[in-house]
Amino acid sequence: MLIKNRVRELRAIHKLTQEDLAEKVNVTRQTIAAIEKQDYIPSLLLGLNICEVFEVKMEELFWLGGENIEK
Amino acid sequence: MKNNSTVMTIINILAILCVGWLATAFYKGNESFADFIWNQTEEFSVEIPLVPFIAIGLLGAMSYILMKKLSKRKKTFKSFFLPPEFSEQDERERAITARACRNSYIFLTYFVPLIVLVLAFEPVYERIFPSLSIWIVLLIPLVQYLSYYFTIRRQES
Repeated sequence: MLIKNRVRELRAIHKLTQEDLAEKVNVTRQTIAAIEKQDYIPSLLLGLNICEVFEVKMEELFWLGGENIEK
Repeated sequence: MKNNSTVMTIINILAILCVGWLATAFYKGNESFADFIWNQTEEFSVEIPLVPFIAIGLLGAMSYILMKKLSKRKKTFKSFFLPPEFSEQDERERAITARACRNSYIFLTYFVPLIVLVLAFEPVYERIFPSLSIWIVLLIPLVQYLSYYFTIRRQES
């Protein structure tokens, strides 16, 4: 299953760059980019940290949807 | 991560070639030493070429400088001994590295017995190329590095 997210949208609303968000949640910019492209499913901890930055509930940011195509 | 691993893999492959070169020189020297022990010759001589030593030193220094410059890895005593191509700055990179190590492990599981079988043919090839065994054994780290590298590339693209 694919996990969809609104990270890019919320990041734009909060006027944060990928680098800013990466710094806030202590990961690399590439990881934020991979999450936004839905290439990488973040851990529960990272997901919750991102939710905390945007002050939203988990289900408002991540939800199940579609089939994942394995690389 | 991808660019760093390309440079590091090239350095690793060059280092393997230097080790092979050095070991081949030692092999030739040891032939004379073996004659000295088993055939009781009067003297023996071992020639050790300096170039591969210098090349290994240069590659080591280059790898160290690149690691210091490019890697944001914490500089601890333990991390110094980790292969420089390892990039584990966050959970995604750790997952990619874990997958690359897994693939490398799988490759070696099948490749090492194959290499052992090839080595069993030493009596056949040793007359033509006496130190070929050294190069055959060096194929093991080569396969390890390449399977690691291509997994990283595939994951990052």
